[in-house]
Amino acid sequence: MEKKNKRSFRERVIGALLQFFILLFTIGTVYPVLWVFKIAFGSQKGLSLSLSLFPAQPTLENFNHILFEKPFFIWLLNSLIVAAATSVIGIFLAATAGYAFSRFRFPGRTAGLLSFLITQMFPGTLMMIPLYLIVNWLGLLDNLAGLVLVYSTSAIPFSIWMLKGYFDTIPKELEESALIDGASRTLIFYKIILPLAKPALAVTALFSFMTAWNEYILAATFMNRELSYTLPVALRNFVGQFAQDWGLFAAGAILVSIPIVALFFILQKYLVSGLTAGSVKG
Amino acid sequence: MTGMRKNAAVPIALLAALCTVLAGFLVLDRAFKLDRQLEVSRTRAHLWLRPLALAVESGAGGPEQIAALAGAVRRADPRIGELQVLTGTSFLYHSDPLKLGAGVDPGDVADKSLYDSGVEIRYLLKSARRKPYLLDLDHKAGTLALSEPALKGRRKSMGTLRIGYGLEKVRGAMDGRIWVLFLALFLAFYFMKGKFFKWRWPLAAAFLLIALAAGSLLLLANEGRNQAQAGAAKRAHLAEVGAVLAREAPELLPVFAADLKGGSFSDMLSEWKTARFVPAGEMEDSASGGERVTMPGGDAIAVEADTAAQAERRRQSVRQLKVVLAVFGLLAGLLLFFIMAGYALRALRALNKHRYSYIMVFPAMVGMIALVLLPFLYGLSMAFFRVPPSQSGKWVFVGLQNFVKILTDFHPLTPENFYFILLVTLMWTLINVFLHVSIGLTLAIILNKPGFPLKRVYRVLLILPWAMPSYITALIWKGMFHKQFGAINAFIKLLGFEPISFFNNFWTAFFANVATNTWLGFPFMMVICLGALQSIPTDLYEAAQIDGAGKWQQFKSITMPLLKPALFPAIILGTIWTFNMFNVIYLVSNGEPNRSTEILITQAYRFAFEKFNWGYAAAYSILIFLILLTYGIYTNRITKATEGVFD
Repeated sequence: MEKKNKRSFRERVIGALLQFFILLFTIGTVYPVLWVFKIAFGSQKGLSLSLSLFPAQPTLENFNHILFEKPFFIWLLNSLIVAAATSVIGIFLAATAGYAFSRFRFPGRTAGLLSFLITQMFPGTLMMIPLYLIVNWLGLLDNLAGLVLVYSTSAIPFSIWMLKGYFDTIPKELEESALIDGASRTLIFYKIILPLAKPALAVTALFSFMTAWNEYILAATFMNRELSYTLPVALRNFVGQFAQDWGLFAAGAILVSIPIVALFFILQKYLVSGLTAGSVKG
Repeated sequence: MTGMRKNAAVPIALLAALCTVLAGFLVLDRAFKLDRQLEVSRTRAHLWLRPLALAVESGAGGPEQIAALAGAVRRADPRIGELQVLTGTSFLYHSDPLKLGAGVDPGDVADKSLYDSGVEIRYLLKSARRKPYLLDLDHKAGTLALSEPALKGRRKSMGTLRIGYGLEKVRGAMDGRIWVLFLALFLAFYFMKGKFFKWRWPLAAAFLLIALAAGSLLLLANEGRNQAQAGAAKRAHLAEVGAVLAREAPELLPVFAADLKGGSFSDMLSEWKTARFVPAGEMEDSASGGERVTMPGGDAIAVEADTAAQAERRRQSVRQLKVVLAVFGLLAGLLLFFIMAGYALRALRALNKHRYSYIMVFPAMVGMIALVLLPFLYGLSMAFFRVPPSQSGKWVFVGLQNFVKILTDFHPLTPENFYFILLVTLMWTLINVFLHVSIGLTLAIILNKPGFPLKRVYRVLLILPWAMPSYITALIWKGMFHKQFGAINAFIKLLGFEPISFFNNFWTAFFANVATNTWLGFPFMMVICLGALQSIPTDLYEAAQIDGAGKWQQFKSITMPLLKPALFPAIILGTIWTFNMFNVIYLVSNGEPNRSTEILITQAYRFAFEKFNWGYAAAYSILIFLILLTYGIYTNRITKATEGVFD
């Protein structure tokens, strides 16, 4: 009796310590985010030297400024168009390819899969110059289509791998019975496989969307007119070489992050299964 | 046995073809080098003769002084064999002391030939069909003999000068790099035995082509280097001549300089691909590869590399190369054609059989080839050129020069040194991945405890950094580390310490980068670990508990092995991401202080888009890629991370 009590006491202490640790860690993790809120709602242009998370004089000045005195909605539209187009094109191309890689054995399959993996190792700087020249040659500099083109191809390898991993987990028997019933390959793909793969498609689309929504370097290199900026480029310029307007940046950062964070949390339950589906198998 | 003998014909043919190719390259390379060195020797000989000719032409100083100058010239360069100055039928100077002051002896072969040269030059001057110089080459003895006139006006010869000059010995061509080609040859036949047996013919043919390509690249690179060396040798020699002149006949210096400027012999000089000489003031653009040679006690003479002539020479050598390549290429192509025809047939059949798969993969493949593979190859080729910043400029082939420059810079004090940055990058990657995995795993284990209160809330909050756009995170942290207004320094002040200016010291700046990236990266590892932990059946732990295993032993024997399949790919991926983590470095420390916290990828970016040294940046990026590729292959082999994925 005594012994059992003792152990549960020890466990309780450990539990409390763990709680405390996690709590501290979570505060540390969330603090920078809250700090951004403080600056966004604060009245100074710059930063403020205090640990407190509440601005001295809360105001919506920064939001007002960025929303109505800057072409924020044009930037938002640019970012939305680029990110949405990227994820749609990326998903369409990756779904068919991922399905083929998952279901069929054809010469060049292994080489193709491996080469997709290797492209992830290409340093961005090596690709940037040729991409710049290609986009320039196509006359798509300062044009959203150029960004979409570049983003969707860079998103494809990752998407193919993820979708292939998910397709692998769908039992083959479903297709076999459909085949026997006389369905065509194309019909099976659209009517059976795609509906079953919805969660994976969602996660993959989210990743493509996020990559495009968050990409900074290529956008900064390709887009030179203020009105063709995407949000990352526009935000960066608030605290870049020529300006130090942290309030404006913080307000913009909140506006940019909220939709993407919301999307992320809505889809996060698929995240783990999507990410580990391909790898846990082996 | 009979089968082996029958099959031996093809490898022997391939071997012979490869050896022929190699030998062809060796001969070509040697020829190029000889040609270039002959050009230098001719120029040197000419530049020694020219002041003497000028002295004769100007008539100042008299025969004694000309003889003294000639003597000084001969002493100045041990490679001068014979040296004669002939006016009319008597020698003003003769390297053979017995002939000094004597007349031409028609019985002496050397005298006779010099006299004949003078006659021929006079004839040439009258008819003006050719430039008035005569060159005799004696490859066996390794000498050249150059005869030139001393002119009065444009057409009248006052005398003939001749110089015998020793040619340099040309060393074995292609240096040690030829061994790379031999290695390729060896590999080609080595691979034929092992598991690549069925690919041996295409492989060997591919190696033949690679050897062709590599050989021609090396040849071009060598030619570029020879050219540069020749230019440098000529310029150095000009200074040498100037020094002798300044010592012996300073009054001739301005005449010499004026003559170099492009007087009577400028055509000849340019035909010889020597440097074009322009007085210092008149040079339009001294930055365009020009160089100044200051003659002791005399005028400064700017020497501009004669790019037009060099380009012509380059074109010529490329033309020669093209012919040779075309011949060998044709042979290799034929070979390849017969070998590949069978494969092509099989490939067509496969294409037809698997057409449904190929149609589905096709759109993605086209996109990948057009916008990933082609740019990659373009970037790859850029590393072997000097690429001008403007798009209209011409690429100059420099071979492996960019790589050599990067890899041979051992200067310890420049933070732009590749090895230093590599060290920083490795440190950065190791520390980050270690922190990501250990923090992620710890949090996952705690959050996976059954009945842990507020589990879901913590989980959501802890994933937040991953959900945020990374450029925003990086900029936030840059603000947090701000010296005067950052939250970190506010905290430090609260503890009673002096605020730190984080970006003035390597370690604090590095710390700031690591802190940012750790914050950014641990949620990914946490999510991966959580997912994997949840998939471990709990009855395993129960069974272990019954068997009396402690917590640590359970972790070691159950958790770790079952985490591995999910964790290793994540670690490999995380390592590659961190290695190329551009955003954090660029936006947080931006390389401060003094470019020391730069990692390879940001340094490559700087070379490309701040210094516009695109060839160099491409070479830098290729090194990064090679490092990552080696890492990928190595870890893949060890962990078998992708095993089973290809089934």
